[in-house]
Amino acid sequence: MPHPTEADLAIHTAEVRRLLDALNGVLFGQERLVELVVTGILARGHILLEGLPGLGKTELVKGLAKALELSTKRIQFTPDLLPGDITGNPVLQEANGRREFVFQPGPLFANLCLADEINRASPKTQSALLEAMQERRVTVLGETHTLPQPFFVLATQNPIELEGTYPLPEAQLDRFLFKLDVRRNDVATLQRIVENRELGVEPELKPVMSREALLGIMDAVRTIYLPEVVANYIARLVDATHPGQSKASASIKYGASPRAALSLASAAKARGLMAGRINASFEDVQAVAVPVLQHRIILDYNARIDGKTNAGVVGDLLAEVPVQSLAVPKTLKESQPAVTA
Amino acid sequence: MSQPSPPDIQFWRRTIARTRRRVNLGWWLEWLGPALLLAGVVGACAVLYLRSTSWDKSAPWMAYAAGGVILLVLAATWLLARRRFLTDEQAMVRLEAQLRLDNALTAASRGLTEWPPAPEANKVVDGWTWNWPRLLGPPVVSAGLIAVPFFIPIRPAEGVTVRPNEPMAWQEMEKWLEDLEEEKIAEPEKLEEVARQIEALRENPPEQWFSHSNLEATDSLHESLERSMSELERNTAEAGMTLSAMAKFGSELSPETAERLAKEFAEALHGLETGSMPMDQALMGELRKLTPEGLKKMDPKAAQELAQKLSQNREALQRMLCQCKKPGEGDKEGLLSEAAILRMLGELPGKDGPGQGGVARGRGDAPMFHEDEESNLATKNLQRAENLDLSRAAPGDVVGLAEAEHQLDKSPDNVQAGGSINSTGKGGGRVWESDLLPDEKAVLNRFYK
Repeated sequence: MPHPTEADLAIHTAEVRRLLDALNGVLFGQERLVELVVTGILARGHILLEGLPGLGKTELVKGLAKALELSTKRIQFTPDLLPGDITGNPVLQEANGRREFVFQPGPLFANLCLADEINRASPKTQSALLEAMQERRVTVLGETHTLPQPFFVLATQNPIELEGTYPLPEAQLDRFLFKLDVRRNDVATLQRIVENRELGVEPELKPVMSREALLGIMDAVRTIYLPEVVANYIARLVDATHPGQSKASASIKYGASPRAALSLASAAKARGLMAGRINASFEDVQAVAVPVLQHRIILDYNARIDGKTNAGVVGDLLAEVPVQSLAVPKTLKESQPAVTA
Repeated sequence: MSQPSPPDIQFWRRTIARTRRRVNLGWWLEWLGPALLLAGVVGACAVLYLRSTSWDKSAPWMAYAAGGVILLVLAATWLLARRRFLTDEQAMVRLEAQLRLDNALTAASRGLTEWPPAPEANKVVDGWTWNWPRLLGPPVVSAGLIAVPFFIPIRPAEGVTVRPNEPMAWQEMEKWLEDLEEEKIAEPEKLEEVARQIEALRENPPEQWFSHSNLEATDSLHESLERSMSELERNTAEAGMTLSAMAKFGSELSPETAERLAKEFAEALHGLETGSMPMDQALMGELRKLTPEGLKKMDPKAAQELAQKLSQNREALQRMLCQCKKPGEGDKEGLLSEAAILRMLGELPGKDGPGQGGVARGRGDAPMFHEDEESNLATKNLQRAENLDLSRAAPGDVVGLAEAEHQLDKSPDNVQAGGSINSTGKGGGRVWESDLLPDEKAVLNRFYK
């Protein structure tokens, strides 16, 4: 697969920059979150946003839908929601004197599907998303229906400790490229929000990227050069999540899947493109490792009792696994890298 | 993609090569450290050992050995460290990871993008510094380990090169030779010849002094010398006794007896002259002047002095030989007193001598008769019979008869005080058990050749 030229990259990078600026204009103080969401979109991944109500999760998704000119559907997950309610149902219709079942597409049939409070639905309904997220198609009554391109699921969920929630099954969690923690804003950001927003009034956001442009950038991401050493680093990082493979993995009961490695590579490429580089790098992998891996590892009981978090354990893994498998002689010691001009 | 700037390429290539060399040197030094410590310990032990021996500090082999060991350590650690050496590509990855260059060098080396611009100062701190304590520790400790033994007071062990004691037979023979020369009893040339033979044995390596063949040769030489001395002592005694008898009783002897005595004296002189150990030429010269006519005309006092001299020589020889006589061996075996000689010749009557026969014969014991003194029938005088043609001799054939016997330890087995030595031995029983005389060995050598 030919790699993109630097000129192409410059165009894509400028478009992505405009998208980031637009989103940061409506969601204050969440630059890092916005960057990761856009990275996930460019990497063709689904994103799980976790945070307390009112932190702007839904606002972010809605803003993204407006900026990208994509068809958007919102599904509010509730305990009584049924699978057919999201995938669509066959409806008996009469046409030309004949009665027949006609498939009525559900809210999944959109480019951007906002699954709000996904952990309030029953596992059965949650599992209805599996095929749609992985294969981007829906099968109802033996009939398969392809979802529109591009197709993203941006799900939000409240922390699972809250009452009335159902933890997402591991198989579904693994299908989310990122799990992003939405954190509360600091005082300065809150003041900015208060000064620029009105309660009940949605911010205006003009489209900055067409669907075709998005697809073009997503294709370009796939052509970003992934050096062999970076691929090796990804492999060693994912391998280190398995018990016994690293010191940090002592807290892990189950490690990440190969899909996690693919997700890391894809996200690193997307981040490389966003930075205007023709290649993915160690730094890209490190930047996306926590959102990619934290929901794919399951901590053991002792680690949870000790107050360890998934993100913390992934951070330990990043500190433990060197970017190059070759050891460094002890006769040399690392100093702060610096380039003297 | 724009063309890469050559100076940038050169700069990064240089930096990558420098990083590679630095990391590889680091690996080598890491392996070298423990090796130096080990070499230091070994070197310290070697210095201690060499100092405890009488070593030659100026010997060049030490410098060569030390240099060789150092080269060996350097080469071995280099070979071991090579497994961890970085290639240029690996060094490039390490460098870009240290400098957080977003793998720009890797992408540039693939021709996908430009090389990053070189810093203006053309100098990159690659994020590594030498770990000096770890670098300097092993060589300093190693040097200290090697240096410390030089300051430890050690007295070199003297006499480490212990020469084994010589076989006692050599010392005994040399003592004989010394006494013979001092007393002027034997011909010096003969003594020098024996001394040369002893010296030839001594020139063998000390570890071979007690070898079977060496001890055989030693015993053979010892027996030969002892036999020669015995022969000399016997001839000296006979000559002395005869001369003394003639000096004392010369006027009283019948012509026949005087003639017999003169004949015996002449035979004794012949033995002294032609024996395996000739008598000293000075004394021999005086004795040679004593012809039968000369004996009759000789001043009894001068003859007595000459006999006295012979007697002294005989006693000296007896003293020497007595030191090696085995218990039970008589001192005067085979020798007759002057009176006994005369009685035997019929010149002296009396109870001690045999009768002359006839009516007027007095008391006299027949030979082999019980008497105080042992009858000497001269049966113990051995005559040398020699087979000169040994070309067809085979084991078991008699190659000759000689007055010699194997050295047997006849010392009785008694209770003795701890630490005392009854018999000094001459090489152990195994030697004399298989001991052979030179002629016997020559026959065997020829037969089995």
